[in-house]
Amino acid sequence: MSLAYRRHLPIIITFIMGIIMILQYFIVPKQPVEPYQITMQKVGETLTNWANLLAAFTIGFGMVNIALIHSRHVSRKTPGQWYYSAWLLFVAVIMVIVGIGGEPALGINVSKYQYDWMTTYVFAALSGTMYSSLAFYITSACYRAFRARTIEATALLIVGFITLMSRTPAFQAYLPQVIEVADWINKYIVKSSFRGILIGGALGAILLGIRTLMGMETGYLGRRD
Amino acid sequence: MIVSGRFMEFVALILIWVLAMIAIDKIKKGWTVSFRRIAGLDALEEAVGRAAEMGRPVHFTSGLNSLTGTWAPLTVAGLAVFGEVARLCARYRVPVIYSVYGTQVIPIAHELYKQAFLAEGRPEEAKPEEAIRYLSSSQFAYAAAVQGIAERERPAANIMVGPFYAESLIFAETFYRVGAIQVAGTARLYQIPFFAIVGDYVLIGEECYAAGAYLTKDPAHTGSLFVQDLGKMVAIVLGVIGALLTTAGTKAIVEFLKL
Repeated sequence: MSLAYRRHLPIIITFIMGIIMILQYFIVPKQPVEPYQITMQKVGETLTNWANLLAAFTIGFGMVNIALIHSRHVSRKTPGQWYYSAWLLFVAVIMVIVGIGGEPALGINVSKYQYDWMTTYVFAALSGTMYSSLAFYITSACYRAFRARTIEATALLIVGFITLMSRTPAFQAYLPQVIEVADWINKYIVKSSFRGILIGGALGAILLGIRTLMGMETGYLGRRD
Repeated sequence: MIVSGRFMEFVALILIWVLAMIAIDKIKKGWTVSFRRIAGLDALEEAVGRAAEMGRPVHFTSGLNSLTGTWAPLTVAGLAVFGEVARLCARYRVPVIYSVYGTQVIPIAHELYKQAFLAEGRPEEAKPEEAIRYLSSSQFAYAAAVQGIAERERPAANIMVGPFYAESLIFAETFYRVGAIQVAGTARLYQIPFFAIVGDYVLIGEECYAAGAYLTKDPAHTGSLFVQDLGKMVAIVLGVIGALLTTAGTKAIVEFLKL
């Protein structure tokens, strides 16, 4: 394939579409009135829909990827892995069948109750379990991190302790001043730090976008040069 | 023609763009600019080298990535880091595992992986079907799958650059428990403290976005990093002047920036 097709054409397309979306943000108000504003809004919405369609198309890649990787584990009986892969493939097939059987968009309503049941009582319950386990990971991370070895670590320990205690009912009842201290830390120190990081991050994102539009950042094309 | 309230944003964007092009042009003509080292990005080779010595794989994740959402730039930044990680893994013959959340990055990751092995002269050793693993597009199913990879395959290095949410600490603690060196970076404000605490190396906010330019070591790309730092200085000056003027009772800077 020629260089023009592999490299230059995608960069030109990216540049044109990027400029259109940038112009759309700056010239189309929330309630467009002028004909050019309405046109730009429609163009922007169309391009956004195209992007979402392309993204949805890639779900097929994921399904094929899962099927290939895990069927390989099952066929090779990879120690410590193959039974997990077999179970994953089994449950995935069941969910696809049950999901299609209960999909109103397809006019099928055979297994909607079963799909809802599996989503609510299996999938949501497992997700909630994983989320709740986060508390234990936070505890272990705090146990490791809150050690007064350096000045910064000591400051982290003190501020962390104050913030934690301000959320406990005992301190809120008997020592409400700790809430004011925690709120002051959050309002002035934390927020100002966050805004500084936010400004830096925003500038970084803008420059990344400019490099992308100018064809200098080609990671999204799958190449680093 | 410009929407009311967005004029100064437009001016700022044009100014940044023009300055970036000027800086890139000057650097191409020989102007040298020195930058501070970003320890997290310099540590990538150390992490892969450690994995090579221990005979264990390298794990990479770009978080809850998406190329169509608000955090698409951070996902692109994560992919830039993956390109470098893949190249290092190809060079040191270390298996890499890329745990994918969003299906949109699968073809890009495949291409970056194959290009990395091609660049290192080892295209026959590339196994993208084993390295790039789509896990799930559900947050905690993805987290559980990554934990499973950590416990079963015990990577020696874990590199996380991208948009992370609540699962960030789950990853960090799990990989700490299996003894992996961790390089973590995100621009999501509420996850940065978690990475700063548990990561061996951390990339904070803009350092993730600078990765693509920093790792290529292309003089032209570093021009954009110079403009990034220039923009920060302007923001600091405006912030200080604005704070002083607001304290004095006038909101001139605020009203000016709202034009």
